[in-house]
Amino acid sequence: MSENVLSFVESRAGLGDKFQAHYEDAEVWSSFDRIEHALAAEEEFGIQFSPEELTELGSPKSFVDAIQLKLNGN
Amino acid sequence: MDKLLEFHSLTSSQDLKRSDLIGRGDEQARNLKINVIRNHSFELVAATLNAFLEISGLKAEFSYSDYDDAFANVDFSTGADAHILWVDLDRYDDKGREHIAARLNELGQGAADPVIIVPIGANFEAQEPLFKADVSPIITRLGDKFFDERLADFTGTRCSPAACMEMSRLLGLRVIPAVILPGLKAVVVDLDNTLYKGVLGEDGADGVVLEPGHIALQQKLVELAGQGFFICVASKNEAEDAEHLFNSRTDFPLRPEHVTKFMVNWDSKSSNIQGLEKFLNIHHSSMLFVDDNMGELFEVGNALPDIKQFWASPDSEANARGVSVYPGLLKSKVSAEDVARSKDVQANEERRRLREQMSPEDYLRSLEIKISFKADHPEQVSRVSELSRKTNQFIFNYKRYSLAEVKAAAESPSSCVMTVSMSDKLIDSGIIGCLIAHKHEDTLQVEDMFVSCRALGRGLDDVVVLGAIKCAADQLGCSKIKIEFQKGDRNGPAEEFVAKYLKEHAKAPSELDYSFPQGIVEISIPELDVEEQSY
Repeated sequence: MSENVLSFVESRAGLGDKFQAHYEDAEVWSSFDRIEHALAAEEEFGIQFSPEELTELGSPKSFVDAIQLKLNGN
Repeated sequence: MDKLLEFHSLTSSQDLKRSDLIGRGDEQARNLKINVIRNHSFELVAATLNAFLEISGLKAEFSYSDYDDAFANVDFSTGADAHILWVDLDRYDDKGREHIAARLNELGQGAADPVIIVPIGANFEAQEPLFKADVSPIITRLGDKFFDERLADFTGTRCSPAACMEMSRLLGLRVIPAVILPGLKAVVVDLDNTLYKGVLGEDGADGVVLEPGHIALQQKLVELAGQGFFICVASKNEAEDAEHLFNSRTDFPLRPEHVTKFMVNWDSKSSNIQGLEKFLNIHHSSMLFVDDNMGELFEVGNALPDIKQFWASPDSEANARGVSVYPGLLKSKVSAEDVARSKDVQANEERRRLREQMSPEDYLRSLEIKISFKADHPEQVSRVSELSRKTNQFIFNYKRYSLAEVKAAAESPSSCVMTVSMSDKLIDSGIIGCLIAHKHEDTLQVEDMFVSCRALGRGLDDVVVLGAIKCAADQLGCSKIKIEFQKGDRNGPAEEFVAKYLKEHAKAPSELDYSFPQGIVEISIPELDVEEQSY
């Protein structure tokens, strides 16, 4: 896993020292926060999520995995 | 200086990142309540708006209507500072679009607060008082990237994140400040490395270079001059060199006739701008100063802390973009008074020359001044609203009237909107003053009176103000006058006038003992059937 991706998601998360505790929590963000985080990731890494991929984004971990997958060219 | 760099980026950068703007804004800024009435999502626009509003000292809180394609339950009585009609017209067929356009224009008529409409998807002809935010340049720039159907189910709008950010920039920099704050009145520009590339004293008039960005900036200044903004030059150069530059470089879009005043000398920029304050009779807070030299910007900012400043970077195209969208330079319409403004101020120099040569009365007679009073004239409603929002020095109460409020006062039998127009042999200044008053029993209660700074100091302030009060009292059949006055930051001229002429009326209702001066100016009071009297 890229440290770069992890630190991006952590910096966006706004969870402070509770980031690890909520790492796999799919309900940690509102739907609007999720879409803003997705748009920020697209902007930061020059990637684009499909509607199906956007639907799957929920927890910080899902963001890290999805961004990493895109960067790996999958 | 950090703020200057930041504001330069916010106004001119073509690669701003949404994520850098979210959550930004000035906590100390004036808080606005914006009511958004919509048929698609506005949240992506709202998320970045405060970053742009910060330049104007504003920040916004939003309240939202339900999504409603019919715009059936629109409530403008929410106590908001402004309303935004956020409309995707592509959601309707042709007949539906026609219907909804009529509905939206009708809605605008009933609002007391400013209403901004942001139509996308089809052309929309907005009728006053709706203020249309024109997104067509953004559509042109982004092309097929304006829409992003991929995200529509998630964001609630077809507009792409990039389009939302640009519309946020349009609203935050230009449109919301235009409906909330008094506009700027003057743009003061440096010459070297601002209007062209190079140093006049070293490169000579033939050696300085016009890049496309300099041409675009000069064209923008010409456009602003045509809209009634004073364009002034403040430059440390030899005056004759600057004169030769403008005479010889006919490729400059900005011509001497577009410039209200040249201040080309070796004095400090701040002292030259203070000279412009006196010449234009406006406060430096109504000016935008554009200069490439951070030292000059620092010096001016220290001496004149309320002035707006823009750093002219080495990227001339960025400068043109930045000045084009700078807050305070957007007008919904250009009035006849706007067109005449610069020439009127320039005529003041001729008036000053005449005044020095003769007695005050002979001077006034020589100008062949005509002053006209008109009550409740429907065609003047727009100008009255505009003047109330722009006047800062000669104003009694800083009431900022919307079109609907002026219209309501003009139509009410117990209220009066009295305008004062002035012309002389040099120029027709148009409407230069206005009074709004209400009748209470036998008393005329003057709610506000405001006079354009251009008309002050001609020795006729008493005729303009006391004449308007007298005409309004006659119009409403009032024998007594009560003046409402509130001291503000900058209405010292009005305060002095009230202290000199209306002190007792500010305390309690009392009769006004005033008659127009004889044989000096021509007074016209058509509405009162006292046609073309010469006093």
